[in-house]
Amino acid sequence: MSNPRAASPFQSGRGQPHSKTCRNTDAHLTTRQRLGLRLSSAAFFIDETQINPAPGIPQPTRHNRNQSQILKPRAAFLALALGFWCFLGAWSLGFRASASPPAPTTPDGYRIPQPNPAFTFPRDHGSHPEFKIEWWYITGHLFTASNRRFGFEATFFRRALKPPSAHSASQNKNAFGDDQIYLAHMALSDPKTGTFLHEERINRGGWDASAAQDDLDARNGNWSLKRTPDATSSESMRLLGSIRGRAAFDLKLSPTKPKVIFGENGLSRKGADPNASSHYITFPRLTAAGELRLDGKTEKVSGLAWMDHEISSSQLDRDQVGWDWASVQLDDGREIMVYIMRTKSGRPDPFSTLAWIGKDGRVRHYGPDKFSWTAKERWRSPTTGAEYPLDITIQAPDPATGSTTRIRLKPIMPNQELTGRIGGISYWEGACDALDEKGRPIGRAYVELTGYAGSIADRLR
Amino acid sequence: MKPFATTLLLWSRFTWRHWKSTPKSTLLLIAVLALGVGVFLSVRLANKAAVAGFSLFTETLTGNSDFIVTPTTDALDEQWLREMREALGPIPASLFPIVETTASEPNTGRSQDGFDAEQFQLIGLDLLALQNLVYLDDRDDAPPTSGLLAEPTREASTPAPKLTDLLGATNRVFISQTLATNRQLRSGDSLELIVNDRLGSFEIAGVMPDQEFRAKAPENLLLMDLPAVQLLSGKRGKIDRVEVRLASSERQPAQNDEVENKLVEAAQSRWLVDTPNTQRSAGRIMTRAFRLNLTALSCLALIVGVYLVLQALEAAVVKRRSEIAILRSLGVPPRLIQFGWLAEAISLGIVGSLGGVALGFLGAQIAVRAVGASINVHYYSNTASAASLDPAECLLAVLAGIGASCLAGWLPARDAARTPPAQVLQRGMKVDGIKLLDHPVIGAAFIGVGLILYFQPPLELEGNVRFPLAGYLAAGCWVVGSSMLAGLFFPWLARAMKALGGGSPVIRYAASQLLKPTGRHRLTVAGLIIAISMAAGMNILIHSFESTIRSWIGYVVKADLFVAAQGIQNASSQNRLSPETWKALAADPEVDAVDIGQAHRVMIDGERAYLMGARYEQAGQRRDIVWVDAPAGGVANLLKDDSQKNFPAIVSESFTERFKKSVGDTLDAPTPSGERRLEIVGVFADYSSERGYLVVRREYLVEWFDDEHAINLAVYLKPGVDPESVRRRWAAANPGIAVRTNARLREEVLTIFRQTFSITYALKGIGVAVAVTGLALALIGLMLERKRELTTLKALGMSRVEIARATAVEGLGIALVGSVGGLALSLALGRLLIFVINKQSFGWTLAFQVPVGQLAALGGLILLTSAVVAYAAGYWGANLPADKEE
Repeated sequence: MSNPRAASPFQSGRGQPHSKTCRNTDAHLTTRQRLGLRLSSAAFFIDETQINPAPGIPQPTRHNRNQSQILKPRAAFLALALGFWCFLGAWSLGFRASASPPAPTTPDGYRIPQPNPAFTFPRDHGSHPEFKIEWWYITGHLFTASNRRFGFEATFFRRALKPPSAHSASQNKNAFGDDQIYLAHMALSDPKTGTFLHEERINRGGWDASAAQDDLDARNGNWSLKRTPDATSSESMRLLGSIRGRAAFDLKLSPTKPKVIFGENGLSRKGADPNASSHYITFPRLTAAGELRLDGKTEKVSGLAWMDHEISSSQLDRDQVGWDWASVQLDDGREIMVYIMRTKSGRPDPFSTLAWIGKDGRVRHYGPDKFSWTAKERWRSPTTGAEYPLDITIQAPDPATGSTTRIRLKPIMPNQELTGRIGGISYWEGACDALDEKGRPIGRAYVELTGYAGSIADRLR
Repeated sequence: MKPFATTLLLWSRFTWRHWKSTPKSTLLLIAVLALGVGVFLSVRLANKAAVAGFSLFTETLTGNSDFIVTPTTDALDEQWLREMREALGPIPASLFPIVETTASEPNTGRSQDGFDAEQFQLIGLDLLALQNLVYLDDRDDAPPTSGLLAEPTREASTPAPKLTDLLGATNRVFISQTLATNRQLRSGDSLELIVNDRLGSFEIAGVMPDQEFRAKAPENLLLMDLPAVQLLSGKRGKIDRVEVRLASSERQPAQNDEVENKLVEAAQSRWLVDTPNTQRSAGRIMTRAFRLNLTALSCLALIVGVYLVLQALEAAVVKRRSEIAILRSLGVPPRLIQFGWLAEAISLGIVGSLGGVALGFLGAQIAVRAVGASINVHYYSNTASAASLDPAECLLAVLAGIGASCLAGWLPARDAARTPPAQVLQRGMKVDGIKLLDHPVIGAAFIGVGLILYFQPPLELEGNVRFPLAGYLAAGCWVVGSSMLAGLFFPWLARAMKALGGGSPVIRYAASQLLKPTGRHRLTVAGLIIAISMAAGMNILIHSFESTIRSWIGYVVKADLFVAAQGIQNASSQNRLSPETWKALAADPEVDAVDIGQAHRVMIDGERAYLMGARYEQAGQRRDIVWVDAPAGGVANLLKDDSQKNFPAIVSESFTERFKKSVGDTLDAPTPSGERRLEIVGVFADYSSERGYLVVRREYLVEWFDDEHAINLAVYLKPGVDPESVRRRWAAANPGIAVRTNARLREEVLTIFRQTFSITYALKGIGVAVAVTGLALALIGLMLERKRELTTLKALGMSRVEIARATAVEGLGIALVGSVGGLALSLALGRLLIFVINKQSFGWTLAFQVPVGQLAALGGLILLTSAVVAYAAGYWGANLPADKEE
């Protein structure tokens, strides 16, 4: 899932004064995008060999509203079908290009996500500057050879300052661009010592921060996330990160399940406003392997990670004060993604959603009336004073058994707060153990809690 | 009783009692010592503050940087930043590119052409990336301590604009808290500024807050988003330097080496990687010769102080001989008496030095402006406006004061301890005092050693800096030697006086005193010789310098008008004329021709130098080049076509000294379009910079640097056109430029020249004051010593006025020997300063010119003052009761 705090440093809500508290209207967008993503009951797998038979020729995606479908290559027979699809796709696009009206835009000139996106990978792993905001978001769990455990977070955000029509022609070459700005967060949780290291970074598009448009290649200072195809997968990637000189990681991330695109018809609606929507691509299960250096000592690590890539141009709702989110990677090969949107009235927003991703990639979606989210304890941040509800128990129907299941998300350590020194918005995002009702470990999770150091909506306005 | 306790007892009974009974002379002595220490300290503090101004500037922009990347040529291409990042790979290093220029306030009527305009340092930093500084601290909950610009937008008192609105905004600046306070400025107010040659109104976007945990932003610092400064300064796509910061925990030697190596590897001679320490030392090196010279001069003041203290202590020994004798008779060992005197000298040293520290601190506040002004003119932007009381410097000054006092006290103490009591107790006995200076042969030897030192080369220091140590030692030898020889003249003078004075008892009495001069006479004349030779020698140097410069500007400053961007009055100014502006001026129908001044920084042999462009075809016709070593074949040789192997270049004399290059040598100059091999074909005289210039055809410069910005424009008007009317017209139409007429520019050149020497004027004044004070002190001592003799003279019928006259004649005699000796020595010192010390420090050839009138006036002033002071001392002394001590 994406991170609404991503927008926090951008601090440039229209008409809002920039101040010490760093307002951020754009984070609304992120939140709503996330909400929209959860609203959609449809997600589907895409096998890129099927939908992208020839580089540069986009294809309409296949989708199914209620269940995902895995398309696999079928040798020669399918090659014919492939050629047909290729032709059909090209024709379809050509027709649409000549006959369709221009893609709708927001009042300030950014493209609005539309249904049936013609994703072409790896191009669509790259940046989409015609949209206002975009991010690549990774969370995961790492283990050393001696089974020492760490949680990590690495996020890259892009936010446009100018609509595409105002982008300068030389922007890509400018060392100090003013079309895009880039933010990034890195965090490492070390339960052995109870140390939580984190760092934020903001840079303008240019020599020190960028996101390629033709492939996954996001950079911010010495941090980077780049697609590096290998024998394991054409969608493997390399993540380079560091935190305040104390920690650094160099990780190879390889998908063990195909990516998921959330939302009905590839469009994740965010609310009643038809403009409020996003494109949302997720790798729910990535193996992570590489090196982690902590306080001068380097060790080999391996583990599991989760990655979101989300593209949007919409805004956050005024009624929302914050959200709670979790991704759970169960040992049985399934995943859960769940979020609760908290409104001013105290009730969960109707967009709150819990989604199961089956071993086969099928996604089952449940509204807030079908599941519950309860916290066992509260933890007060010594830095910001915010009080976060931790040790979450999720109660929801299990599509595999049909019965109700309880999963406890127990933080591996309480202090996993990102204090938002640049963006001004604090949040808690931390590694957790997933336990069953008897307290037995059944997987691992990442939980995100926002809006506990003051209303996010108010801060962002 | 233990020696220490005995010494203490002696001190309290002997020294303290005397101090109490003769408070005026004790205070005078302390004041003299304090003055010497004060001058020494004030110059050192001022030097330190001036250099600290540079350090502060480099250290605090982004906090404590680990490395500073600077271009080998004018600027770094901004595209190279990507290469630096690539080179560093995953190393967690933050790079902060910086562009800087100067901005000045428009002419507010203070001067005709804006020469006195307030100047600001306009810094361009990526305002967005600056936010990242907060994470470079150690602690997560720590307040941002990363430099003065860490949170430029976070000012509590006024609403700040949105950060994203500031990106690229060329009309919004952040100002320092000091400026905001001093001028009552707030966010939203506007400031009129000239950047390059354009006048604009700038909105104050915010105030850089002063916080106790970080360095205070200098008052004249302005901050703007980097691309905006690039645009305003005509440095589009260029970066002046990059500060590299590692996260605190990465600051380990191995990591530092890795970062440095990677950046150096990627440089391909396009940039240099320095640590802030080396940058700071570059500032220090750059001004080292200048500052060493100042320190050497300040040491002279201390030496004069030592002489005076020596005189005073010697007088005290003489005065208290009977007491010493009694102590000796009572069995106090000579060694203890010597300790007692040393203790007195140390006590004086301590009290005087402490007074000197106070005096030095006050003096430094004045001196720092003078030193800072000189450094600004010649070296770099200097933000120093006040000197702080540095404990180490104070300790050094106190130790120097005590040391000087001990040194001065040593001989009198030894003298006191060695005098046999029986001899002293004879009433009315006259003593010679110390005999240190009564060694003419040794004096002659010192003069000889000085002569040998005169011809020695300078001391080579780091960074092509040379310090004329042998020159200063020669000066010292000559001063000491002259002091020892001066005593020889007293008998001659006395005989002459007797011969000329007829039977006048006044003259005869005075002459009899000089016929057999005491140690005090010699000391006094030595003090006078030092002070007069120092003051006069400096006078000769400054006069020679000024005459040379006058003659030089007569040759080279020939244009009718000189145009520059406003505020370009010193080495730190970076305002330039845009090509549009100077081309428009050059196209004016009243203009006959123009010389375009263009300069770029380049690294030659690891040192910064200026590469300038010239239109040689103008030389000889419009403007003269004063050759030190003219090119073979004349200027035409410089106009050869481009097919030649090396590019011909002429260099200034300072350049040849600094880089040890001469005609025929080649050197490689890095330019943005590649390295160029230049061949030196001529050396010209130039007194505008001791850093030196390298000059090539302007066409080359434009091609190599792809930049037509000019630092100035020399304009030749058509015959009959009134320069003043053109000046007014241009100045009215272009508020961002300063237009000077020929006369005004010459005047300003001399003003800058005088600024350079402002501190030496002060030292000269102090020298004269100390000399006259020393004379007064010596004469008072003589009067006290002779009080019994004076009583006898009075009993024999000499009136008080006659005694005063006799003393005046004696004083005049001493002053005459001192003045003649001092002035004679000043001629030698003048030559030493011009041909050795100046040449070795700055590389300037100066014509030796003696300011006869000024020297005569100085001598006359000393003689007159001495006569008056001596008369007063005699008049006062004549009335002394035989048993009065003060």
